[in-house]
Amino acid sequence: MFIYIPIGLGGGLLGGFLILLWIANNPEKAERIFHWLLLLVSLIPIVRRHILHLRLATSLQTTINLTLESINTNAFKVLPHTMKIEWTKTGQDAQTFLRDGQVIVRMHPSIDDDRNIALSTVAYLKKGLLPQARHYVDPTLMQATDYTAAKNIFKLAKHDSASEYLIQNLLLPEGNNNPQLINDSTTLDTMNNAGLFSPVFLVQLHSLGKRLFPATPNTVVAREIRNFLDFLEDIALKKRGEIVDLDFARSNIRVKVMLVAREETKQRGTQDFVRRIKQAQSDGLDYIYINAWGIENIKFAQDIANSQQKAGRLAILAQYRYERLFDDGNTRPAIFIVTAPNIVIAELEVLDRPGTLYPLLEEHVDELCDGKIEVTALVRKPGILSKVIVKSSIDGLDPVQCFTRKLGKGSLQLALGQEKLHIIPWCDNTEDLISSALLPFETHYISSILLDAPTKTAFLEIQPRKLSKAIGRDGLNVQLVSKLTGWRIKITRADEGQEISIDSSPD
Amino acid sequence: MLEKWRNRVKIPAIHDRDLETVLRDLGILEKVASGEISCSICGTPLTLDTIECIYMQGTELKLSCQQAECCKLVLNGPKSTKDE
Repeated sequence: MFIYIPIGLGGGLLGGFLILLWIANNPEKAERIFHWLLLLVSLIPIVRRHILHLRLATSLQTTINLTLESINTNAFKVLPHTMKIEWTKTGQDAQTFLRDGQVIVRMHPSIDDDRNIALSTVAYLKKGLLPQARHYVDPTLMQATDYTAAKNIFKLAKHDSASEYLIQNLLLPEGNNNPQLINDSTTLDTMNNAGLFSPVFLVQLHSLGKRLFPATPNTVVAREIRNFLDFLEDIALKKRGEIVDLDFARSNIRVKVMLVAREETKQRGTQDFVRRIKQAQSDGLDYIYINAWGIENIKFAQDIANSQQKAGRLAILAQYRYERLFDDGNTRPAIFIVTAPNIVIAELEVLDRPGTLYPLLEEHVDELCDGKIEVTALVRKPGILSKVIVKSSIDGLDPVQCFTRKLGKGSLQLALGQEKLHIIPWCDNTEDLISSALLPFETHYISSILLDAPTKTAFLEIQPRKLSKAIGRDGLNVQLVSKLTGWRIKITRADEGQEISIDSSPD
Repeated sequence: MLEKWRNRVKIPAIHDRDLETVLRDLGILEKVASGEISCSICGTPLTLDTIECIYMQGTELKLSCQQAECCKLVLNGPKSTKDE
């Protein structure tokens, strides 16, 4: 019997640990479960009064926070942090907030109150949406952007009545005094229906903020953003056969939108798209957005993007699927493929100096010698660390396994001695490639990654536990990743937001 | 691992049932009850039922009423108030 007690305790501790681990990694879902638990406990009259705050807070938080993942997926984490309601229960609490210049908002007891949801979402977006870029956008346009983002949150959270509250009580009354707000809001809604709001407008503002912040805002940048809005509106309103400008090349925003339609292809063939991509390269544009709707066109757009990536003319950064709303009220599946020209991943230079590692790998890994797998890129600091990107030519063959079984106590490790070898599986997605090159098999410690195509810089947030490993001794790990991928790497400590200064230039 | 919990955007809020206590602690409950305090945006005299936002302008404590537009103006940054 005494044996069962430690086993039971051990099991309990392990279970508790696993639950805590899950909670730490899934705060939004944990909060949802917590909210339902509170609902159950609130049935007990004695404790009911004390958990009203928690229920209301978790209800508001889950309404908003659970939608953020979906928005961030479409827009490179433009909402990097979730929301938390902080209750003011005493005068001392109030003075702490007020001294910080914060506004304390009254919340009504009903958990489904549209006003609570609308006001807390607006308050959250003012702090949480595009925290760097919003300094450069003119205030009316930024306010309209917040409202459109709020409407998207309410739609995802299935809280349409909060959207109605926002329009009737916030947007329209202020629109009477500031008609520009209504105009901007209408434009952003039109762009939203066409799928241009999150993946194009918000992403470009996010990228601009990353580049410019903390430079002093000026009217030139604000005007450029407004011109970009007009450019996207023309595309959103474009009728079939109508010709609109699809290139926007200014100081801070340089993008091309490429609309893919089968009819066009049947007439002129894919060469037309290749010509336009080459033109974007020579014009020095930073992003090409390939947009298509309808199943056939989507597939065709993906084929174009993939073939051009293989040809080394562009890199696919992300693909967003959405439902495009048309004038007749119908929706059709659509896609935005975000690509960056002039970034050549497929033709990485082999940086094996003094040229000894590759023959060693070929000697020990049969699949490499037989041509079943290939080394796409390689960097080496002899005697310390090497990183190799590998790719399989045969379906089902895991190229990483072919190497790892030779490591450990294997023959390859004996030949390498103390030198560490990181094997990175090739993938088309640049974010994933950089992540797995930096922390092989431990990419979950990378909290976020943002690629800035114009400066060819990758901004990564790393959790403190793996920060030193990601950087490596004297910055070696990050320098090798930079050389391997051709991207400048900038690392931030995830919990403090403090940028770590390391020279990670690929040159 | 816990940075998702730590790096949250905090929105200060006050629950209906805590309003009296907080106003008493701030020393303005009696003034509100006697109708001496008005909305800093539209100038309407405030009661306990109509207070919506509390904020500081300079060193002065300000309250706004339940009209959505007043609350929204305060959230956007209380720049143009009745007093100005």
